[in-house]
Amino acid sequence: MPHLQLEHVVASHGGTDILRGTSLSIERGEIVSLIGPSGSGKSTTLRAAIGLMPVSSGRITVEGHALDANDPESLRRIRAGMAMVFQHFGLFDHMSVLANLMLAPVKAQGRNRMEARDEALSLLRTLDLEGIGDRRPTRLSGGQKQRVAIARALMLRPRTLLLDEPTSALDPGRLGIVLDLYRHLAARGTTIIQVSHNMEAVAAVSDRIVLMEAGRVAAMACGPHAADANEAVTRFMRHDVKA
Amino acid sequence: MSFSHYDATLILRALAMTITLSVAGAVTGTAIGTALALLRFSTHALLRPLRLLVMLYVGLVRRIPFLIVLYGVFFATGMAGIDISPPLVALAAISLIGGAYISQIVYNGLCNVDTTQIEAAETTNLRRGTILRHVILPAALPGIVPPVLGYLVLFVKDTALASQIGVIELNQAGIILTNRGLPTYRIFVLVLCLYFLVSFPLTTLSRKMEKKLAASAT
Amino acid sequence: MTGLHYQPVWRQLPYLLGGAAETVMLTVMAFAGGLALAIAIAIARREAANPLRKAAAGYVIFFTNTPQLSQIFAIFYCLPLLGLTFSPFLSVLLGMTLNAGAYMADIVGTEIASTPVLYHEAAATLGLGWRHTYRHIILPRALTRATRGLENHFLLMLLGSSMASIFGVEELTGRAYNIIALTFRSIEVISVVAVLYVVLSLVAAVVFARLWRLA
Repeated sequence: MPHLQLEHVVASHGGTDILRGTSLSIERGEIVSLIGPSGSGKSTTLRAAIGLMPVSSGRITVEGHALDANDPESLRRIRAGMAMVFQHFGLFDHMSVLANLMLAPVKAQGRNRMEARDEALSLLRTLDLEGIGDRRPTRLSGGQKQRVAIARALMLRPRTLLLDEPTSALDPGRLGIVLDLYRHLAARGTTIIQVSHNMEAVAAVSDRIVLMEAGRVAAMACGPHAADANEAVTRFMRHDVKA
Repeated sequence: MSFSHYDATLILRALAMTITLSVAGAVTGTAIGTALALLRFSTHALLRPLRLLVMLYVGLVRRIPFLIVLYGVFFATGMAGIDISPPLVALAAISLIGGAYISQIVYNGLCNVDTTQIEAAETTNLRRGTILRHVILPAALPGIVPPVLGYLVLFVKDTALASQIGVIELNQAGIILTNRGLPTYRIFVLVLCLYFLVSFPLTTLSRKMEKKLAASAT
Repeated sequence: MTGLHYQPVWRQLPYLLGGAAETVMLTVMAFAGGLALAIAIAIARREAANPLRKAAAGYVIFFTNTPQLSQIFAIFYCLPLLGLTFSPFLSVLLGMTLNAGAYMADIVGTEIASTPVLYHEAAATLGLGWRHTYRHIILPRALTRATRGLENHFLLMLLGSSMASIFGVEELTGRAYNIIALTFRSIEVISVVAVLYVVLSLVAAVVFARLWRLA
């Protein structure tokens, strides 16, 4: 049974179809990168997978459960195993970094405060963010915000991690740290799907690279050297690196 | 007891008084407020002491309850031996307070005008008065009119306090009828409804203008 | 007319200051109650199912379009019909609270409506239910952004509380009236009381500035 599956998904926003029959099947512990021109439906695929985007036809299943964006109970069950890092982070500016990290584990998952705090501090250390726990997100650099957003998602201990441009604001040193973390998580069974324009990062971590065009999967490349395994994917990646 | 022809006349007259006080207060308040705002916005060195006075006036009056200003005008005119009717006392008090609030709104509006527009006009050697009339005021107006309207809505409701110096406006009419033994809740439902009928269209208008301006600004 | 005599007023200054304390108490209590009510109404206006949502919206429209004075009169005259007898202070407090609830529901509601979509989405993907989302994300943000409007309304309430005197509450204006009846020094009393209101409102502004810095 695939970990996450999209079958002929159609989704529209403001009258235009953004996903036009997207099908994709992802195994547990895989790192999958979605690439493609802007407007091709990469982010929408992520949003549909976590129920932020209602689907007009087709089927999404996560860990064997069908997702129904209009059914709160289905949403709750599926989101309980998922986390998402947003392109614009979505950090809550009126709370400290630590409060951002601890809110959901304590309030939604009912975990112990002190334990959540320890976990948050250790995650911040891993992401080279030691000592910023008491700051407000508004006082952080873009790269710091991005890593805080990643830490907040990881606090949920998700089995599925959805990442929308999760490395766009990172310098090369921090990029290495974050990519190592993704590999480490995947090795322990976390499924990771990322949307990225950073082709170096895509080439470095992906088990599979999915090229999207006009709301559909246009090409796919698998294997340890995924970036070179498919001509269309390779072409797009070379092009995008230049641009 | 039931509602007589006399009672109906009383309520209608009182409603007319509420509207008259509101409209007259709006006119004088706007006139005084605009004049004070323009004075405060002026740059002429000789007007400096006047500007300070205006600032003091605006700063102080907006921190005094309407009821106290009303009593103040009432007692002051009485003491000075000026014989004016209660409605005029109320109008004077409304103008004093309204002038202060509206002048603050107008002044803020004038200050919010994009300075590059003013500088552009100044480079063309136009006189300050001309710039004010043809550049600053038209640019400031959209930011001034909705809050002034919003303020005038507050004002319709403040006229209810004029009842305290014996003006027979809506609220006072309600009290008179209640004291005469008419069913209290019916009288006050009626009074509240009449106020609502005066105030609600103004609120709606002010909201609509604000929305329109917000839409045209983006 | 023989000029102004402030001596009789100075002698009554402690009495007036007691009235000022009453004014502050009335305003602070009505503000606190009004704010709680405002938050409930603002949330009901967005989240509640239809009869309740419409009722909340109607409440705001009604109370912001009728005079507070007439509202308090209605309460004052109508409560006894329901078999309830409230002291003047409680009647006025109730009226001011209901009135403030409506105005502040508008102020808070505007800020709630300005919550970025991304905040809602982030909260949803974090698995937070609507209660937690309101309590920890939407409301704290909305209330910090509404501080200026809420402070303004507090000052309006402070001044507006003078109408409590009409119902026999002996706050600052009520006590001013008592002294006038006793000494006939109307102008003197009114001017001193006007200054006291200015001082109260300036003190309130300073206290608010301190509070916002703490928050």
